[in-house]
Amino acid sequence: MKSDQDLMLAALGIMLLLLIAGCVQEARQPVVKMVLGTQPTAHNSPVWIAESKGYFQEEGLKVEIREFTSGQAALQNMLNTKGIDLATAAQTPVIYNSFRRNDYAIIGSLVYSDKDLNILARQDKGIKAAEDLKGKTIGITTGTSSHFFLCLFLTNHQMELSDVKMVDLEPARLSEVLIQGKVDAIVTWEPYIYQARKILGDKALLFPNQGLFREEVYFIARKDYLKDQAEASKRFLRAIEKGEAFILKNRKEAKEIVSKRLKIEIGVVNATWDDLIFRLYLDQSILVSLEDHARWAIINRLTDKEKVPNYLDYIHTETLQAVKPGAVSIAGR
Amino acid sequence: MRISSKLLFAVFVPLLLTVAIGMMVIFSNRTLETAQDNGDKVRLIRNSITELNQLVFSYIIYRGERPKQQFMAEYEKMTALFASLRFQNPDRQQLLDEIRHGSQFMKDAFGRLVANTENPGPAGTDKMIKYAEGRLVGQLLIRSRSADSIASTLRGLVDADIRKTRKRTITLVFLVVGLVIIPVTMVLIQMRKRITTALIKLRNGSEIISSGRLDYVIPVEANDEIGDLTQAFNRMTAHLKEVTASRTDLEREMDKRQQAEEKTQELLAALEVRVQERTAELAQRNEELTIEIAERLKIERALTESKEQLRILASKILSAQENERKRFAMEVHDVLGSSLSAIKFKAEEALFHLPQDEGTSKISKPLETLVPLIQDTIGEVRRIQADLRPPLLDDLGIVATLSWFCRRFKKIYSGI
Repeated sequence: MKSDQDLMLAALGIMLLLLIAGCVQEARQPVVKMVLGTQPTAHNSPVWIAESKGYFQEEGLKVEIREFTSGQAALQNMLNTKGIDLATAAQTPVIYNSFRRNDYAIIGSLVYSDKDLNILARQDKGIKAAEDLKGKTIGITTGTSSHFFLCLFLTNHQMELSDVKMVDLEPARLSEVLIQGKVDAIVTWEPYIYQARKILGDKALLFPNQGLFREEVYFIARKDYLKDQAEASKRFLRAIEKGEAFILKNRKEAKEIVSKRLKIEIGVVNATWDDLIFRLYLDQSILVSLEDHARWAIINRLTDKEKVPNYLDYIHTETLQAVKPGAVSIAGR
Repeated sequence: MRISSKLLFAVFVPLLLTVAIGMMVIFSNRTLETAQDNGDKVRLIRNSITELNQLVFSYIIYRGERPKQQFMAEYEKMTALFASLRFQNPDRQQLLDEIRHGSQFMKDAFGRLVANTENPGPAGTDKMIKYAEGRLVGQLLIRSRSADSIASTLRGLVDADIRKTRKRTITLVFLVVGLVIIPVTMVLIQMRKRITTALIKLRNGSEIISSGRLDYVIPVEANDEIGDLTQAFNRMTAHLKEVTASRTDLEREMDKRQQAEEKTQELLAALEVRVQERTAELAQRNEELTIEIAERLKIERALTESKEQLRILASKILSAQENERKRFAMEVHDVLGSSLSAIKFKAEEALFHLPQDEGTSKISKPLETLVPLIQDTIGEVRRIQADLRPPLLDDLGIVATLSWFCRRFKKIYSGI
């Protein structure tokens, strides 16, 4: 019996040694520096969670986060100056740039929402129904998904983009200009809608999304970066996946982390999160959505191109497939 | 560990293991059934989404009532499936919620499409309506594709759950069996080996002891029933050794005792002789002593008589002495005392009759000194008489005489 015990102890000891060796091996992987360009909003909550909980460090990454006012700005910086390695952007900046270049690809979604984009109007400007928007001045960030959403909204109410006057502004300024009365309505995301409604109170009238448009935000990288830093990209997505899992299991704590990180009230986070689905995936609907967007841009002559690009070239599935195989469902991949 | 405990362990552990495995299998079966049921429902939901998608396109092409009705019916069927499906895993539940929301938007979008078809706008808005429809169809397609992808993902995850549950059950069963059966088997083999070895040693030991070697101790190598039996056997042997000598020891002991007995007999004989001699000596001595005692008694008797005679003689001597002293004292008193008294009387008389002048002073002065002297002499005579035979002795007895003597001693020798 004593020899049996010795054998078991020896086996346990070997297992422990192997485990330690594995951990040491894990710990020894070189730390990779990475720059992420993103917007300081609750939409990027998995990023804030990964940063706060140390998931990037766990994956051997030193991630520097640079803040941009929009996805378009972040994507432009990544493609033109190579100042950042990864960017977050919605469909519209992706398709706008796709008409001119194809040196970048989507490696995974970050978040999507069917209700995030909304139109907020001032009732005291004579806007009581959607039709009253005709002829009004609308604050918007052109070249972004808010532009696309406005078009969908107007079309749904038998109006065109030319029926309204658009004022191109940075998203952070939109609530301010509406409060000041410089515009009659704004088309934007949370938390700007929440901030404006809080100030305007009963004067504000919300035209909700109602599923007219699903906005998706993606992680985008240059193709050359993905080739050179394939492992780092996987580690990045792994850290994001951990952030998502944390949000799912610890919603309250996650909101507090985001509130603290972005220095916004918890009420703003609550209002924003209600409409957001945080999920890392690449599926066929992304292709359909990008094509639909592209068609809209072509029809509305927002580009001189006439052909919809093949968005299969703008989807890089290998990274996410290595991290979360079940999350990739693109035909032929 | 005791053999009985080990045997109990060997009996109960497999029993418990069987129960545990049985319960695991039952539980896993239930989990599997639930997972399979969920998987089937997800498959049906996915089929419904595909069907809805087909119906949408069918409606777009033909704008008929049938696809519209079928769409609503299929949607209701799918809604019922959503209501009956719930995942414990939050990841899975989130995917299901996304599919449900996506299908809700599909329904809303289809409703708008139908509304646009059934309630066309004012004249001149065809292009606008067609454009709007195009946007709507685009969104419908996105939603259905998304829902389909999510359903496919969910189905994959559920299938993975099923495979994982099956694998986990089998692994757990093998692990439990391996972790328990193998050690139990090893324990039983070890136990069998120990018991057999111990019993062989016990048998060998008992054979040695039965051959007469009562000093042999069987080694105790286990702290179990066999060890107890071995110890008991050793104690029995020791006890046997104590109360029953071995044959060799017994013979030796018998020889020793026989020798000792013979020696004792010799000693007894010698002792008998000596006793007899001594008895004779003692008898003779006794006789001599008896004679001596008789003589001594005789002497003692004579001595006693002699003492009595001596006492009588001494008494007589004392009496004679006392009588003599008494006579002498009487003589002193009667003769000497009276004479002295007469002398003193005559002296005093002469002194009385002497004229008091110078011529008689030479006679009177010596007479004056003579009278006290005579008195003193009378006093001494009385003392001598008293010392010889105090008068109180005859009158009042010895006690009063002693008392008087003591008072006188005290008076004379007051300093003592």
